[in-house]
Order: sequence, then structure tokens, then C-alpha cells
Amino acid sequence: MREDSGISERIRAAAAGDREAFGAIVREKRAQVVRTAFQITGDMEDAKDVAQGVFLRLWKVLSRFDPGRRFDTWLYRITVNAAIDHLRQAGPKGTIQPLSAVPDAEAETGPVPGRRLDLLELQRAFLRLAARLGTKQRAVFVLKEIEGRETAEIAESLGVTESTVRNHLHQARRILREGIEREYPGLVPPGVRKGNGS
Amino acid sequence: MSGHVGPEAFDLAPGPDRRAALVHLRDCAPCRARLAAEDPERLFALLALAEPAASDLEEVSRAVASRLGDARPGRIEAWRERGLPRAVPVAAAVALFALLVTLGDRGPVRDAPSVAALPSRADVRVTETAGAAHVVDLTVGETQIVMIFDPGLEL
Repeated sequence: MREDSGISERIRAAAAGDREAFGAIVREKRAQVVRTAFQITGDMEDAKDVAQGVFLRLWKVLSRFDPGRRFDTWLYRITVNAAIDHLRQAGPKGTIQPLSAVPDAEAETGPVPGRRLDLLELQRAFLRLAARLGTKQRAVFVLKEIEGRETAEIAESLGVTESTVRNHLHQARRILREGIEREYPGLVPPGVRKGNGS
Repeated sequence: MSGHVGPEAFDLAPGPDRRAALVHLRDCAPCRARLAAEDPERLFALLALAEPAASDLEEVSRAVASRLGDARPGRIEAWRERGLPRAVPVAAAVALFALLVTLGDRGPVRDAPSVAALPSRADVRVTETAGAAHVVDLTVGETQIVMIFDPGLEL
């Protein structure tokens, strides 16, 4: 997937010292960085600290960015490494402070039946259950399932093989699935749970 | 999005289509139930819809802007950015100190150079090249130590 020319141009300008261009990159990518850091560290204050560190580091190393590579992959690599380092140093906080939900206006996409899933409840469940994952397992799950990145991209971001990514993902999904079934059965609407035959 | 979505919704690449599919899943209990029956943990994909508060994002931007200071990109702490830990120059200093102590311990105490005599036998030169490299040439008696500090070196 090719980088859009806008971000490439801003990267070039920022690498040459253009603070305005760098500010635009920060504005464009900060939600992605904070969200990823939050899902890995489980704490918003930690996520903000990580995000600051990520962008400061980005400013320092931007001139070394290879335009032949995807910027997001590079940024995920810096973010995940910083979040994992932070988690290892500080340890999980255990506080549950969900992110904001998507605005309601965006949700009105047509007549859809049924109860809306409570993202707050989902976030609480994830933070609690994800604390049982290894840091790499958690990072892989966040990048693959929440951020929707490709296996190859995750492997590049984490500096591991695709096979390792698949293995981490398999383990993470198993642990989370067991946790949901045991502790959060309410997340799955009744009547269609596995084994109910409907 | 008008129709219902299948498990492929989880595998869509990031973008408007994936977002629309996830929003549908969030709002449509039958679709959610169908997918969750097999892989309930994949419901966590819906957390992609959760966004950090705007105030938190602004705080990050402000903090980054204020901490950038006057630094230009790529010029901050070249040692660390090149993968050379801060400990390298410290280790060099410690090694040098140990060497000097070892030299001082050689032979009978009466043969060791006196403190007053040492400066005349020690010669330290620091050369700064056109680049960022520093060459430290230290001569103590017949022992010569040359240290090159070059942040451009990839070790």
C-alpha cells in the first residue's frame, strides 16, 4: 500500500525542520498513537506519556525515515515499543478508564435492529482480560484485531516473523475467548451462544 | 450500510468500509450475536470505534510542541540515536581510570612517578575533525591510548 502524497510531503518538510508540517503530522496521527498506546498500557495517562515520547522521538529520527516504507508501520513500531517499555517499567495500573465512544451522529447508518453494544462495557472487559496476556501477545492482538493491520505489517512493526505474529494472535485470542465465556457471557447476545444450536 | 455483515468485517483493511462495518456490528445485535457465537473475542475489534477525548489529544499536541524547544530534527542526543548508550563514554572513563591505577601499581612504590612528575610525562590531545568525531590521544609514559568518539559510527 502506497503512502498518500500529502503525508509524504509533510514528512519531508518536517525532516527538514518545518515545525508546522510536524505539527500537522502530530494532529493527523495522535489519535492512532494514543489509542494504540492506551490499549496496550491500559491507562490514559500512560498512553499520553507514551504518545508524547513517540512524537518527540519521531522528531529526532524523522530524517532517517525511508520513503520506500510505510510511515504507519514505522510509527506503529515506535509506538508499540514505547508502550511495551512503559508497561514493563511501570506495570499495569489496573484502573479502568475507557476511551470515548464514537459520536452518535456517525452511528446512524441505516435501520439496524437490536440493542447497541456498550463500548464502555466492552472496553472494561478488554482491559481486564488483556492484563492476562503477554506484552507481545497484547500488542499483536491490538494491532491485528483493533487496528486492523495486516500480519506482515505487524511482523515488521514488532520485528518478528509472521509465524510468530500468528502464534501470538492465536494465544491471545484463546485467552480472551475463555475469559469472555467465563466472565463476560453478557457480551454475547443470548440465544446464539456456542452450543445453543441457533 | 444497508445489509448485514459477516465475519469478513473483522478482516477489512483500515478505512471507511471497515469503520462502517464495525458501526453496523455495534448497533446490530443479530449480526453481532452471529459473529460472537464463533469468536466472541473478535468483538473487541469494535474498540476501534472508541476514540481518545479531544482534550487528551490536544494535551499531547501541546506537550510535544513545548518539549521540542529549539531542537532541530535529528540533532538531539546523537549518541543515543545512533544506538550508543550513555554508558559508553562513562565506561571509557572508568577503563582509563583503571588503567592509570594499574600503571600506578606497577613496581616498587619508590619507582612510581611522583605526582609532581606525572604531568610532564602525560600528554592528552583532543582533536575535533570536520565531522562530529572526537579523537582523544592520551599518552602516559610509554603507553598510548587513542579513543575515537564518533556518533556516526554504526556499531
